[in-house]
Amino acid sequence: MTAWRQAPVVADAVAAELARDLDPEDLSQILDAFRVDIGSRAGELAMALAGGHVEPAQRAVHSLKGAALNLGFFRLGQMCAHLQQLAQTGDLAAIVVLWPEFAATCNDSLGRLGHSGLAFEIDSSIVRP
Amino acid sequence: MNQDLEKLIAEALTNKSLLVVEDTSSSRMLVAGLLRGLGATRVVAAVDGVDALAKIQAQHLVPDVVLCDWVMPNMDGLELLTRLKADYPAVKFIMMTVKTEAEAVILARKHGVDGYVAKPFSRESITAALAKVLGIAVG
Ligand SMILES: [Mg+2]
Repeated sequence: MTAWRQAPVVADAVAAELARDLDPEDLSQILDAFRVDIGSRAGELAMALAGGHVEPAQRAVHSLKGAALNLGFFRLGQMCAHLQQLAQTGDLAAIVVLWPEFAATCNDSLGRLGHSGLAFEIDSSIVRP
Repeated sequence: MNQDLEKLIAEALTNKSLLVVEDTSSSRMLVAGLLRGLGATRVVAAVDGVDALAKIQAQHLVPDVVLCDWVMPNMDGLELLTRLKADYPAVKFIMMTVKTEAEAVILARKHGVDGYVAKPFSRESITAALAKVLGIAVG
């Protein structure tokens, strides 16, 4: 259930693969886009939770899951997979409980992208456990 | 990865136009970047099925190969597959998805899907899918 906690924030093997297979400029633009994706999807999830909307919550974590796993951000990706399962059963309350850990995992990922300190104060205030 | 295969893919891609359809920007850019890394020079990107059809019409350019996400807002991958196959049966359509469940695969096959790339994407998995739809023998 909490397997994501054991997963690395970033898998070195995937990072090395991407560095091998992509033009350096492409890779840096992709990681920049991922940074934006984290913020926007987390924001969408927060809004969905605040409004009690299951469908958009599920879409937000599904999208972020794919983006994170593609780039080797396994902890965030696996946590999103778990949140997606919760959303599929309609259990938004369980996601709200996990929100602080989700926000922390997002921030850890942003930290590895060289953008530490981007917290989710605004979104967190929307989500009230 | 088999270097001969990658060489054949690169040769095959030089005169092909590719369309990447994916709603999440980092994933969309990743696929486009991997395709360029494999030798593709003509890669167009769209954010969903509606955008994909609009770009095809606006550019009067039917792509040779479409790599398309399954779950997207506005128009999902399955609907785009159905529409493209109806209007342009020659288009090779690769579905990029975590939906590897038997039911989903059967559904996509019924609508004429030519190949799959399972997420997470990699150069290897995209190469294998391209080889399949371009008719390049592997190994
Ligand atoms: Mg998507």
